[in-house]
Amino acid sequence: MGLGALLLLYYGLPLIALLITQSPAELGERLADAQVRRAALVSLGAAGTTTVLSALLGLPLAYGLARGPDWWTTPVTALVVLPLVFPPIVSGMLLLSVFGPSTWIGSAAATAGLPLTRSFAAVVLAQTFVASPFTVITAKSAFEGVPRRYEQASRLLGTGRWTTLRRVTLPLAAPGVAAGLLLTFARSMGEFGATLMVAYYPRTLPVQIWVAFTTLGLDSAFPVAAVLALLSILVLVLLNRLGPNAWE
Amino acid sequence: MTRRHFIAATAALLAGGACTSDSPSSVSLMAAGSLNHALENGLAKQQSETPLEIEAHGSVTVARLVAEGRRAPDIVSLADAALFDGPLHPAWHVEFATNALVLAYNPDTAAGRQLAEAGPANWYEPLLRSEVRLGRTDPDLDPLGYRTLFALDLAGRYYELPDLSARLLDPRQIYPETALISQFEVGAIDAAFAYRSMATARGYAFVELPPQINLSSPAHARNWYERATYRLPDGKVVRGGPISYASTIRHLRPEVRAVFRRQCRGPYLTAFGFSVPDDYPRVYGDAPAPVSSAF
Repeated sequence: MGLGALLLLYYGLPLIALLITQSPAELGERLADAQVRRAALVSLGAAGTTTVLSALLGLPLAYGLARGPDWWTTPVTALVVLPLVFPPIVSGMLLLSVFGPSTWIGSAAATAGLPLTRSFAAVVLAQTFVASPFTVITAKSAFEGVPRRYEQASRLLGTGRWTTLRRVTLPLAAPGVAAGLLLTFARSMGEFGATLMVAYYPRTLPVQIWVAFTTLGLDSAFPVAAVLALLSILVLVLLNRLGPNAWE
Repeated sequence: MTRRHFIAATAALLAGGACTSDSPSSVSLMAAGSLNHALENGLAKQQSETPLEIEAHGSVTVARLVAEGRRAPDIVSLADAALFDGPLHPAWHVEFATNALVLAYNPDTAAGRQLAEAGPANWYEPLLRSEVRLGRTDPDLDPLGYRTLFALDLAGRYYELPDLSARLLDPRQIYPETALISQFEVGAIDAAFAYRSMATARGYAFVELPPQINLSSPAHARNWYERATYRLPDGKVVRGGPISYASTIRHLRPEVRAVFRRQCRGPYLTAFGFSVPDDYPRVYGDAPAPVSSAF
């Protein structure tokens, strides 16, 4: 308990330092700044989209990994973890070399009116690469915690595969799945390195913090960082209150 | 909040976010980090009709990103015209402002106060006594880094201390530019080589260096600044020269030209600590008629 409190203190001190050193007037000024508000919207929108995408694409993958045979789940799990190993800047450079304007995918998408760099889509691509593994890995262990015999019992009672998944497996795995999605959302809100490489515009809050820092230094960057902290805490508390049932 | 409200709110946010991507009439400008403050808070604020999208990195990074096709900005503005001799090769560029190297110090530390006392004539003495925690940026990543090496090389010649650089330089002094700023602002570094514009904008205390050393004076370029050289990782050798900001247009549209003109001639430059010599802006190479006639 005492050791846990020590860690909590370690997490808490920087946040407290960030929040108490900012005067409410300064924070209000930043919230009124059109650039900061736009960046906040982009951050929330992109992190939300990334979380939804991670759920749509990541949960089937997580379920497959939880139930599949070892010979393929082990290498695939390693592949899923790979984005967590790369420094985000490296992830950004790799994404640029696949989706950049000089690649065939990038130029085809740009011709079709959906540029994959310097666009909202680019922000989502960067965040999904870096943050969706949290959903897959966490949901995988949540699905593994659901005993197979419950699914088998449901199937024996004549329930279909899909209904069993929806009515038996997902509700039992829900807390773990929700935790993974929360992690993905939080990581997306803070994503900077990969976003800087592939997008920069439209600016997210982390990019806006960096711009404030490189133009006027720490004193200018901290109020924007406080906006990011407050916004993220607000959303995470809201999502937490909705509870695991939100994903049923 | 019900789940339906939550979903509606999320959808509204998504729609809001999706609208903010590039609009076709905006002008994109990729610039050296040392220009970022002046561009963001000077140029962008004084012109409102065209939305301006400014992206700043170290000059070498900007040049590489554009040369490798990773970025396609309308305007490229770098802290060293030499980068327009490679990796970028535009047909023309305009030099529009100069800057100077200064030695910024932290007046709250003992070592910083020693530098302040030593002043422009003896600034290197506290550094040699190794009481000063000195910071500088990576010479392989941005011109500020290799210009620091040039300044020390020239200082060695100017003060007739041939081993000055060897005695002062230590790889542990190297930080990425952004980390250097934080370390300096929180007091972990006593002194750092910086551009005068940057020191002025942030209110740093600094020691002015003599013009023979600070790379500000086009008059000292020949037979003096040019003696200092540095080899970049790609094998290209950069040579000392006045710190001169250069810019070129990559997509010549009327609104881009208007922004370019304001960037190169605007009164914001001197307000943000840059100098504009009498014969600036200067056009080099074959600029298209609408550009060259504007200067």
